[in-house]
Amino acid sequence: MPAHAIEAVNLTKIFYSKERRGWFKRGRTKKIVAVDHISFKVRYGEIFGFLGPNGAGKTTTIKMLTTLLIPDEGDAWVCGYHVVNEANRVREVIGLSLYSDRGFYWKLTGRENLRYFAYLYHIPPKQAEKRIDELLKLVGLQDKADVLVEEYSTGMKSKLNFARALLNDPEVVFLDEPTIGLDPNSARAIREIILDLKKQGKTIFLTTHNMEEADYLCDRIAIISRGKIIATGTSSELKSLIERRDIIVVEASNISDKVIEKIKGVDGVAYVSKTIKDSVSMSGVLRIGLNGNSRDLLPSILRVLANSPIKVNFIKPSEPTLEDVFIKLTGRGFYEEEVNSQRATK
Amino acid sequence: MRRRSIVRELQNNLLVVWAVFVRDITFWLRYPSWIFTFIALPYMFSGLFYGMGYALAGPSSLKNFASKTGTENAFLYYTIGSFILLFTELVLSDVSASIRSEQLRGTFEINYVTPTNKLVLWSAPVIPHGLMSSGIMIASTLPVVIIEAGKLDPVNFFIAVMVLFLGILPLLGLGMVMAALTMRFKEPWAVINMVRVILYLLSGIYYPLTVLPEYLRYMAVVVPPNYMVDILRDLLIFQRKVILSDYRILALFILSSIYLILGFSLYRRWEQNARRTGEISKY
Repeated sequence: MPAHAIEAVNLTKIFYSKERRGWFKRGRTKKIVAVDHISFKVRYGEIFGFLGPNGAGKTTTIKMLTTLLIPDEGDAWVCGYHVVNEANRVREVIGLSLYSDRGFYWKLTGRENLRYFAYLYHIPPKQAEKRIDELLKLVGLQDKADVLVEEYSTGMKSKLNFARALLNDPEVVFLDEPTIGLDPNSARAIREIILDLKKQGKTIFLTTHNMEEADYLCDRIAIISRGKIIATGTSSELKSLIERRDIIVVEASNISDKVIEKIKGVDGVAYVSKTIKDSVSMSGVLRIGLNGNSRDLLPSILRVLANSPIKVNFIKPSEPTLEDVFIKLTGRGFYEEEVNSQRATK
Repeated sequence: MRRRSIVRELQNNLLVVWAVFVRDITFWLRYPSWIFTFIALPYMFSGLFYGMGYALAGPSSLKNFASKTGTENAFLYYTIGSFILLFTELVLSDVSASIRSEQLRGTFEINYVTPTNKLVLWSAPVIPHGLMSSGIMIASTLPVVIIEAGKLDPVNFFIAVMVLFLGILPLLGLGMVMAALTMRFKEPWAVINMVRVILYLLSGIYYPLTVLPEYLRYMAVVVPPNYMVDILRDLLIFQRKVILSDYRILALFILSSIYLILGFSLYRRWEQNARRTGEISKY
């Protein structure tokens, strides 16, 4: 058995994007380094998380590791098989869940979809039926197994997607944003299944931009930003990268950049990051990192908030999270980078 | 050891073909409106061209027709032609559009990351579609063939069915060529329509190739349906015997090899390139 379930060395992927202007004019060809010389190792039986904002290179990495893309530079092995030279071997030992609600034949039932893919994994019919029953039970879809997929909710499709990724009893399971777009209950159910799989000894490689999820699920996390891995370690190892400091969390609406600038201007404020949850009411969360003691600085911050149009719902102290690690390492807020990367690709 | 792995490979590929067969037959049976299309279309096309011919040439149309084709039975001539046209159409569009439609449906990547032989996977839809459509079209046109031709030699009928299945091979190769072009130009119907017009012009489906200019007749040598329709008419209208060493059967074998090799190598080239550029998983 090879020493690592996944090993990537200097993995690089470059895309070229052509600009279009009007009907006939072509603009410049842009070079986009989606993944930039990344190296990492994933141990057998661990949940390894790839955490980063949208556009950081997470899905591109997963696609290279699952043989969908050929790297431009570097090498990678899954269970000892080279992802380019032994692509079919890699496909035999992996399971992949790429989209939560796409990738099914909508006019077939859940069971028929699983049967179809089981045959594509060369599982003989009798064995396939047994496996399908087990997996439907695991994801809690027994009652809906014989309903057409077009009648499934997003959560049910996600669960079916999960079941499909496990059909061939893979050694390594790749999950790309497994809970994206799910309601809290469905997301919780999926997270519990992921932990169950770990108990069964599966190696899980998951990408997410949900920091709480990475914190809760992953044994080790690699933080990826703009195609580069900027830190790897356990959640507590990553958090120990930042010095102990007080953090204040403000949940509010009517958040504006002007207010943020004013808060940043308060003496002793190290950084302010925002996460906008509703862009109409501009409601969301501000995380204010402090250089000094929160008791000393809180009155000044409250004064700024009181003199601005922001509507505060609550203020509470917080422990450092992976977002604070991200800010410390990149100098940018996690969601700010997400918005910027979306702007850049538009 | 090697023999065992070949047997296992064969079993695996059969399982993939079976998976695609069950999937597509399930689609078709769950949404069965297509059955009426396949029953009606050969007659609709035949009636259309029969009417056009009569309108152009008047009462002497059938005599003119017989002088060119050797039979006055224009309706049967057209019905067999329409049958081959629809059969060709189905095989070509199935293979050439299958990869693109999987991409747009979002099932392409998930199919692609399974350890199957992709050439088997993408060409497998031809079997259920070929079987279902030809079965229904045979059932619907057989009575007309028997009534119009006066009799039906069971041996000739058997050979006709075999010729249909042999005809799938070069069409499969052509479909793969079109699939690669489709992936290159993104818009499947632009490619399929362009190829199909050229193909049908040179297939002798509604007229004998002898009415075409000489250079077009030379071009028709590489068009598989041309041989299929010619053999079927010999067997079913003229009640002639066709043997295995017939030049048209040999031509179908040769075209099968050429188009399959060309189609599969173009597909491989596209696949490698698409995995580099990201095209393979863009949708």
